[in-house]
Amino acid sequence: MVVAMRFIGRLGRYWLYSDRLLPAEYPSEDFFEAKQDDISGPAGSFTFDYGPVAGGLIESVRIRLNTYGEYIRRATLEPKKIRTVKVTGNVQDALLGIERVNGNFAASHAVAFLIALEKASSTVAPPAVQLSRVLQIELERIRNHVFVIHRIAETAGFSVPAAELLYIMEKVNRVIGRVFGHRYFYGVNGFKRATTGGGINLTEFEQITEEFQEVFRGLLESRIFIDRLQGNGVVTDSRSIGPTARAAGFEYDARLDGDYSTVYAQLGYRLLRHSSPDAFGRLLIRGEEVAQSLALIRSAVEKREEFCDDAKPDDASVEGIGLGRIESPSGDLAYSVNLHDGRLIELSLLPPSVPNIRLFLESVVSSGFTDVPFNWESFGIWMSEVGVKFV
Amino acid sequence: MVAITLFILGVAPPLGLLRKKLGYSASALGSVAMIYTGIELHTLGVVTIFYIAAGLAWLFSSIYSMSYDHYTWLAPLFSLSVFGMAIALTASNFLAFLTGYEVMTIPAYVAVGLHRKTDYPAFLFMAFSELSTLLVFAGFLYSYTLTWSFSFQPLAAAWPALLCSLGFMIKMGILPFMVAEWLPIAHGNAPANMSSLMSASMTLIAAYGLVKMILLSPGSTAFGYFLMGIGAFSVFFGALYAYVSGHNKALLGFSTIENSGAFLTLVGVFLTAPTHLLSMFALISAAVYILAHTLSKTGLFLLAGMTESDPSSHSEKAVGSLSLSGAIVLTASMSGLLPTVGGVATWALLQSLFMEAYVLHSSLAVFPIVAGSVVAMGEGFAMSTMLKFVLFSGVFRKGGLRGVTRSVTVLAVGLTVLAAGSLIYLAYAPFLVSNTLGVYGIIASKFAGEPFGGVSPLYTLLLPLILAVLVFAFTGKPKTRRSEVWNGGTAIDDRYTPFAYSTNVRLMLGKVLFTRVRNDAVEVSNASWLILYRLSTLFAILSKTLSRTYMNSRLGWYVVYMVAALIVVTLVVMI
Amino acid sequence: MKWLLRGIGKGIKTERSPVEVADWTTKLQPSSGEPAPQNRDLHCPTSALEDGWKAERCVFCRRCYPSYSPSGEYRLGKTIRAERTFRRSFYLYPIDVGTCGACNTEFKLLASPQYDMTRFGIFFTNTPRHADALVVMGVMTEGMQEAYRRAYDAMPEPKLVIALGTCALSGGIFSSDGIVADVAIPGCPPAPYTLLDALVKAKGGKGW
Repeated sequence: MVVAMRFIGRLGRYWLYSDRLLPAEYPSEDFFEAKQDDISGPAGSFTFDYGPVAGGLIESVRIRLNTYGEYIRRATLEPKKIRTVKVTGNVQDALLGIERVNGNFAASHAVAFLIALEKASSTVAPPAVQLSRVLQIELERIRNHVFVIHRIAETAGFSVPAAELLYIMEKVNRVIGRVFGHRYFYGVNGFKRATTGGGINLTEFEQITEEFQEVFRGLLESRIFIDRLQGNGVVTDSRSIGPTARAAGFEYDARLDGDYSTVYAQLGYRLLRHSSPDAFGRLLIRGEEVAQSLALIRSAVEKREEFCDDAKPDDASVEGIGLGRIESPSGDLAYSVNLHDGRLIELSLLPPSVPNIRLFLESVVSSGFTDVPFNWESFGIWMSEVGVKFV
Repeated sequence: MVAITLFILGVAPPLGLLRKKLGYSASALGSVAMIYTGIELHTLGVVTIFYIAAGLAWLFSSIYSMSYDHYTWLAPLFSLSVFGMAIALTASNFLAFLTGYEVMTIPAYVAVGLHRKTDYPAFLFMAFSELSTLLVFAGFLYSYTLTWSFSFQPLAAAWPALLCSLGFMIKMGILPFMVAEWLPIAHGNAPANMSSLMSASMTLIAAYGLVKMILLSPGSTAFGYFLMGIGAFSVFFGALYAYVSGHNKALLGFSTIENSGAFLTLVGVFLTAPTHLLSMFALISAAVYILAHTLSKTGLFLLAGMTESDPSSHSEKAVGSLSLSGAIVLTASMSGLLPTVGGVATWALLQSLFMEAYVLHSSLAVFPIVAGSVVAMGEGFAMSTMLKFVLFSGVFRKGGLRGVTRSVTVLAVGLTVLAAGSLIYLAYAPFLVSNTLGVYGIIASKFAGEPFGGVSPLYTLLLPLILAVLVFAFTGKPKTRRSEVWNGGTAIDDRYTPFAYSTNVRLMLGKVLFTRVRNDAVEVSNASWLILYRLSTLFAILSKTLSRTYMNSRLGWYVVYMVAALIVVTLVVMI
Repeated sequence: MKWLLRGIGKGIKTERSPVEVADWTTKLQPSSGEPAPQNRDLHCPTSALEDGWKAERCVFCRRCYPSYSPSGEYRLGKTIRAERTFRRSFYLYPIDVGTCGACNTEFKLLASPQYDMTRFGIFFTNTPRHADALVVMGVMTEGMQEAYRRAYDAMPEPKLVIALGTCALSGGIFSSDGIVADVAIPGCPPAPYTLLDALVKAKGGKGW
């Protein structure tokens, strides 16, 4: 399947495309940075602060909405929690920090980082490890998609489906905890190795699939619920990623054109897309991807005999530059690393939340206040990966 | 007594030329005399209420002006206008009334013109005022041809009252309201004490004239329904435009239109009521409504004078707690809340419409029902508008004292409004019920023998106070700690604007208000304004073409015109 | 209506005690039969093994494995000051001062049917004005200092400060300082069963 080249975002000193890196000195009309400048409007308008600490927000972020009252003219966003992560030097220590850049995407971050490291070392992880990594990413995807749909249902005041989705999410977390020892994949991955613990119970997965489908279909039957999402946060930009792009009809997925695409192809991955570029389309995509991830996991489990507990020591023994890009639950996630003498000297991250924030700020204009939480949640933005400084 | 009042007020303008404070003091003294006159004449019925209302309004405005005025020309103009109003109120014949009517208007026109030094508001004000005078004059003329006398006498035909009413309605801002919002523009562009006179007292004079002429004429139910309809319509749209207005004084101007509409509705009930008791109730309530409006509007314009700024962003000068307390009572009165007199008036309005709908056992009942619904919607907007006014004037921005005299004056108006609420039962002599449960002064609405509904402002005033005191006595002062406002973890950076307060309605009623949202503004407009604009452009084009056609500078045609004129004149003279 | 019926049809999912506990969210202890090795050989990145295993410093990176291994004991919370006023109604206000997001999610999962915190009288609130306890998650970042101070100031007495997670208690891998708190719940992130146990104790109960 030939996939067109697409623009993803800024990775360190480069523009990242799906098939190349361009140095950022080249001016690119493709790129637009989320402006952080002072926000003010004409007489009669005022700027409303949402956050940094608000009941409706999961994380700390300062969203500023300039409005005439009800009608939003413009929005800016400021990450308030900026953490410094030490990554230069010892690779093992760096991995500790990378895992904790965004705990909810820990597997995606760790895997992308490790792929970049392995490429920099001109080596490749064994197939069993690749499969384990894919398994982790897909489990993480299920959990996150369920969480996003839960957040949307909770915002809409649909308490019963919200509780049911939380129930499913806790079940998935328990599976992850049982299989990998930690509910957020901390300490699970390493250079060319991955831990797998107890077995995955496929019947349990079938049950989870069924329960999820029931809730999801029930939500889709509710006209009131759909009304909150349709037409809300329309994004038709071709410079989008992840579920946002696929909802708008673009065939963008790092599982097709990024790393481990062959593994995904073997597991039977097919791209899902819709032609509803709003919050509703993003909800649809996520719901359907949950089902698809569950199918992929079954596929992976059936190849289980190739798994083994690798305990080889980590060592990145050469030098080089590597780039790893995988599909996190909210879109493309890429790391580029520069190894020298077995130590990390440079690292750049393109988290999916950065392009998503840009798209959110564009899509919120002209909507009303009550639309904002739905729009925000539908992108699946995590501020923890936006506010990191690597040293 | 009338003579004394007129003398004192007449001496005030020349005194004002000499010394501002002297002039205002004379006006204040004359106002007290006016109040006394009103009390003296209490046997004349609703006239008393008008006199007392006018006297109180002038009194408070005069006292306020003493510390407000920093112009050279304002004092004599103010006093002259008050003098004119007194003449009109006490007039016993047409000539005196018209004299007073004009004398009250012209100083206001001058004041508007001199205030901002722009022509447009002043001319607008004068144009419509003169139109009003013209119609009133026509009505009086017609009345003269019927009675051959200049004094106010009972009339056999309804036409004089009709003509006069149209004139008075223009003065109250009702009639060409939807075509040109002249009243808010005019009232918004005058000094505060003048605005309070224009909005409150001039409206009172117009209402007085209207009631007087209608009382002298045979009843006309068609006209009554017309008044009811136009009144309800004005209540709704006046309140709506007040709510979405971007300027404090314009807001108050639209509120005047709304209250005038309510007054008209009550007059309409008076004319169409099937029972005599109901029409009496409506008439008394109409006068009470004017009293409530006059007092409250005076106070609110005085308050607006203290916060003079562009209120579409923030009010820079905020008011202190003295005037704020007064302001809260005044806005409560304008919102129709007991125990203020405005509450009694609003209650009476809705009760009248209810009773009429109940008593008219015919399809005509649809008029009061529809009118009642529209009025209720308008009152809802009125309450939100008043809330917006008082919140952004004084609650959101705490300010210091802006002149003790002025603050105390506003507070005094507020207290008067509160007192009037409890005392107004005196005006409702035929509608009181005997003291039950030891509660005095219950006003009951009636259309026949038994009461339909009842209200007791005094009870409403005392009960919460007593309960509050009791609770306080039992629980004592609560332990509190002052802390900063919570704004999501940051300091408050920007403020909620009055403009944003009303944007919800601008957007929701976008079809009615023709709202347009642009990147740098949100605009609302007025259906009739757009129509008028289109019509006037058409008219301009038409007249241009017409004039080009017949003034075609061809000698031949001019000769034809001359010959035609000669023929016409000859014919007319022969006939 | 259909949601109500569906919910009832599903039955009761609330658990009386933890059904499943992930290994690496529990207390670590020296594995039996192994001589306790020197601390410096264990390469603990947060110095959590200086003097026995310190829960408030551990980030569960597994470098000390197999010298140390999980014990299954999930009750890691420590109550320095409990407040019995809240034993029937305990409103929590979370503030994220610098998390990775995992603590936030685990905290949210307290509301899931399996844990159902409301049966213990524990609730979330959207404003510090109605809160009984301030739940601080994450390492203290500069940008959030002011918000933290304001949130604490906005809460009425009596109030508690709960430090949730290793980052809040000791800075984790990001810094070396934590906050001073009335209730300490270590973990990276602490799982809902650990949280629930600690919260019940914080309001004067016996734990879970």
